[in-house]
Amino acid sequence: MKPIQSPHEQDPLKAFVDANRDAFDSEEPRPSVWEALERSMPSEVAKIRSIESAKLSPKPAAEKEAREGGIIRQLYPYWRKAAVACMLLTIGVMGGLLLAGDKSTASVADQPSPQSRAIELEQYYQREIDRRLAMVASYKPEPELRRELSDMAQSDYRVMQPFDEIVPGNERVVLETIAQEYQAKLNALERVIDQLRDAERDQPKLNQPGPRGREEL
Amino acid sequence: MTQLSEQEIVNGCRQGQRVAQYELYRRYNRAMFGTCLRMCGNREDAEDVLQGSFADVYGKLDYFRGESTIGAWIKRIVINNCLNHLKRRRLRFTELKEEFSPAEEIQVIEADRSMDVARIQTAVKCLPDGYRTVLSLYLFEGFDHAEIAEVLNISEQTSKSQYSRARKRLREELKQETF
Repeated sequence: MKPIQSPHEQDPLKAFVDANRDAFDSEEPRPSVWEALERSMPSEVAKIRSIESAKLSPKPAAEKEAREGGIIRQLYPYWRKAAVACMLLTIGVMGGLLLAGDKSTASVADQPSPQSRAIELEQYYQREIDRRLAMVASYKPEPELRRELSDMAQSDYRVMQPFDEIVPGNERVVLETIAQEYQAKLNALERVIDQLRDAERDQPKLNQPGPRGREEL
Repeated sequence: MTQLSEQEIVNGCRQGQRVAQYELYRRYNRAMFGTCLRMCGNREDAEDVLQGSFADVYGKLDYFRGESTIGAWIKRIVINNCLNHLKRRRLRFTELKEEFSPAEEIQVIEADRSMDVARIQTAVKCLPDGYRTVLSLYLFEGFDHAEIAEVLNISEQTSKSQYSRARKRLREELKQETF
């Protein structure tokens, strides 16, 4: 009986390639490939020719560019976190005020009414939503998408009406529900903005001439 | 100099940091270019596909979940882009009637004892698109014939027969070369 052979044992060419795999990747692309890639990407801290030089001795020009333009992009993730933290803080403070209002010995007249807190909450979130709608608009999306997003943002239940009807003591629950509803809208808008940003980032790439005038990929 | 970890590079790229983007390119451009070169058959097309692939990589890094290595993930994007490039060049595969014969192939390759990296590289570039694609995926990228059949939308038998033909043709090319 013949011994069972693995496919590689049967295939000297495959065995040779496997044994010399790295040697088959010896050729390198021309520097113009990275240069074209750099041009196709949003301007960042600096045009870095090598990570070593960038890390060891940052150029003044790079620092200048970082201050003027790249810093906004660098701070973007932190800005988002800060925005979320701000919102959470606001909700927390409002919730805390409501709770404190329940327990406090201070005069009720000194505390804002649940209705006014709800209005504050609504105004805060509406500002955030408007800001994101403006960001969406800056990407010049299809009119239909813009209309749909605007409709979504405007589809507000009027916070004043529920407060007129709710059982006293349940104001906090209602405020939290309102905050959740608004937050869901903000999240939806964030996702749309991310997609528009991605689409815009891909757009120049499609038309960006490569080393030999790159085709659409 | 502190060596950046893969995770640091990925995170940096996600934040649009040019240093991280360059480091990712520096680490993988040669291996990915090798794949592009073998699949596309010429330097100009290979560079175009490489450039587009890295642009895709930077744009899609948010979708990288770390279920594979970053190198394997990039390689998949590069191979997909190479295949798309070849499809635009109207890559065609001919279903061969004859049976794939491993025994015959052993003879063909064993007859040529002068295997050499540079000569094989040059000969691979001379193969027609269909042969070169299947041969590259099988020999260099570690695909089996079932996987090749899936990505190229051909039958497994066609993949095997194309590979068989590719090797015969490779040997002919190796014989014709003069150094």
